[in-house]
Amino acid sequence: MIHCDNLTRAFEGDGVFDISLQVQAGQTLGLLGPTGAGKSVLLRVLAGHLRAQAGTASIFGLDCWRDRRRIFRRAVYAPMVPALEMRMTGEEYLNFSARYHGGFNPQKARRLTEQMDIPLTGQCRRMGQEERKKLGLLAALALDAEVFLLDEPFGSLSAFARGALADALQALRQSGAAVLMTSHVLEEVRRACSHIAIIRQGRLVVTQPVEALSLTRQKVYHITFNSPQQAASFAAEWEAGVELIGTRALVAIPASPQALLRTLARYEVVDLIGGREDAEEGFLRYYGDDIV
Amino acid sequence: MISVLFFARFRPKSLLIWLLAALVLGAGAVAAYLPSPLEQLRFLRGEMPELFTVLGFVGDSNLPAFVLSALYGLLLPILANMQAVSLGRHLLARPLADGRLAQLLAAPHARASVMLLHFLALAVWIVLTQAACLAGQMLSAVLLFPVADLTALSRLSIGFIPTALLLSAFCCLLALVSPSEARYARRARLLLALMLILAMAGRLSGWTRLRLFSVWSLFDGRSLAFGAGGWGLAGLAGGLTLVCLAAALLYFQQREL
Repeated sequence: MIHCDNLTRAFEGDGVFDISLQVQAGQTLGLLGPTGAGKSVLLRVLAGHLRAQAGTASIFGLDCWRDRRRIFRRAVYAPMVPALEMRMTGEEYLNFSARYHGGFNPQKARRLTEQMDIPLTGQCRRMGQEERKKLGLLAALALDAEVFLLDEPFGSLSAFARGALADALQALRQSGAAVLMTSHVLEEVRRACSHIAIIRQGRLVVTQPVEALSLTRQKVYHITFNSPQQAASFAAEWEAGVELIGTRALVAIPASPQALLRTLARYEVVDLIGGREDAEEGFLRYYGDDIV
Repeated sequence: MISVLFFARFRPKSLLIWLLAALVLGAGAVAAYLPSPLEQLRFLRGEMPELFTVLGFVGDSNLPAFVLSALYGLLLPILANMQAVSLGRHLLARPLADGRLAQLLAAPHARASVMLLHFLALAVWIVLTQAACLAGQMLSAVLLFPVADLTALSRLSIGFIPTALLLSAFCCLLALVSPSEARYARRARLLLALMLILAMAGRLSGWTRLRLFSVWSLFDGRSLAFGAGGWGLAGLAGGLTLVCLAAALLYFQQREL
């Protein structure tokens, strides 16, 4: 349903480069990456707000820039910061959005309002950040669409609302909708998505089912040498996946430590601690230096 | 159901303020034709003839000529300028900046429809303001000058609308091409004020060509007031409004959000 093929779009110093991905019906793809990685730019291209400079972006086989109008008969886009009509009350905004967009499902809206505890009385301009976010999500998720583009849907939400949203996203997936959402929190994506794509500096690093995240976890060894020179020498010899901190070296390897042990035999090792990385560490490995 | 957007764009309180201002202006301009204030104005005009010429004072031989002088020379053009800048800001520049317009376009509606609808809201707003101004004039004239030529007042008001619409279409275009709301506001205020200044300076003998650089040259108040035509220029203003609108539509089709 959602299809990007070698999509490139530079935008104000950020952008996305050579992105290829697909989201099929019944899939929820979580696009994970730090701030500035290009997640929102990708969603804006798919929403027809930005034009691809190279490659293609299509939904239902329709070009996202040219056929935006036809796409949005069956698709929904919820931006990171909801653009509400501030003078309207929550209920007025919901009615306006429903009539303007079409395809509004009142039962779904009622259920989501209860589940996420969304206040509909009071003007939007008097609402807090979380309330506005929830109202924006409600206006999007209450539509009977086949494709949902959600930019940081979990952002600004309380733990309670996050749980309700994860349930709502799972329900969408079960109903056969294709959902592409962005986030920079792994746990949110693991909870709500069937697939995960990690984006770094505008490029897709990995795309895989969420279950596969545990399979790709590596073993990490913390090795302490007797001198920084020894550590540097080891790093030069080992080459891949070494992080040096003084006399310590961190090595991540996916398979047997046999080769590592053989190499270490030639050095003066003071200490060696090994263990399997957790999911968060595995995710951070893809982020590289982007997170401090 | 795109009509829902049209009604969402109407903010009754703000509209009421504009309507009240226009009504008071219209009524006040006619009331100023009463002997006492008129006498004072004549005295001032005798003291400062060039200033009154710049302000667009063409005479006070009858009520329409006086209303043209007192209202259409400066006050209504200022009101039209302020309204065009303000509406362009509220309807397009700000929604573009805060993402509301992008949100509106993430829906099964053509960009052209959304844009035209905003202009339609703006045009209705302007027409209502002019109608309120005319209503103020009529009310005042019926009460104070029962034999006044009301059709001349109507001609002036109707002939003014195309120029006011042209300003608004120009502001729409400016809002779309400006990179931010603040830049739009600065540019619009500057350009519209410049056009008014050129129109005023063009009233001085020897400087008349300056008027050609201002949209206000398309409002031929004298001919409209005295029933001697002026509709051709008003039609031209209407045509230029459509050109401006077409340019805004074309630009908006390709504009990234």
